[in-house]
Amino acid sequence: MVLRFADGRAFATGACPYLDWFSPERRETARIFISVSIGESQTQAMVDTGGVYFVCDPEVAELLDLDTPSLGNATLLIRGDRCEGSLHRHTVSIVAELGESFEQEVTLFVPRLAYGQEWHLPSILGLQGCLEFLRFAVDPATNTFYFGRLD
Amino acid sequence: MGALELAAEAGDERAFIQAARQIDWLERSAADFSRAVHLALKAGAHLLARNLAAEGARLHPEHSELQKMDRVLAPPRIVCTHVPPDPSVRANAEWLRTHAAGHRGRWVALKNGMLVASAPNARELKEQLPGVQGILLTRIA
Repeated sequence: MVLRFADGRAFATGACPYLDWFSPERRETARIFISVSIGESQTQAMVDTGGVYFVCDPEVAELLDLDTPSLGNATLLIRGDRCEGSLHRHTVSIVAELGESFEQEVTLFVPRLAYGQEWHLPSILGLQGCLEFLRFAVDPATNTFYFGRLD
Repeated sequence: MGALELAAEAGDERAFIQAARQIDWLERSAADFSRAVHLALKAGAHLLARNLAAEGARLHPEHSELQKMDRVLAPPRIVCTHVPPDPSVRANAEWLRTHAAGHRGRWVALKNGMLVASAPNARELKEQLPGVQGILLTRIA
């Protein structure tokens, strides 16, 4: 166990390092970027407790060859902007450095870009549909993200 | 449904929820549920979208689209526990801390804290790799 309640029950069973920026030079507002496993590979995703679903960078989604149930077209508000895309169900896990992790089936949104349009956001781990049943805690002194599942 | 359409068009979650409360959903068709789920997503009413999908799927078990909506929008579900740790996650994070500035605007593939490949987009990156298993693929903004 990585973190425990006072009575000994597990709070977090896994821990991983996080980066607090998306761009190494711009040094924008601090964020939390952690590694997630999706399909066979891993990618970086931003924790956003005000967001919904796992918003998957369209280029990452292209690599995944998504063959999962999809709702077809959907419109979402992402960070204030309307975004067209498709909703899927897919397995995602946070990559633990210490302890252990678990795989979750989550709701995944893949933005659909117009020809020539670029995606300027990272992949995003939102609350509803993705992180909502995880316990998590952050130690900014060591840039450590702790996580665990509900009992 | 007209009030739902207006609230969705305005992106007004609160108005959408209020309009949805005025509807007797037990009397509604599967097509109405399906339309309402799409409108709820458009309005940003994600919890209501989930609940409408679940209720629609329960009331209309023969409607494949509602069954799919219910599955896709359902709460997260744990499918595998005790996934072992991957110590390379720290090495990859250290590589990004140290070297990312020199690769801005590119996609990189990292394994055990080492740069395996770099490309202007994810597709070209994948083409350089024999496989992607256990490899971190990320864009550096």
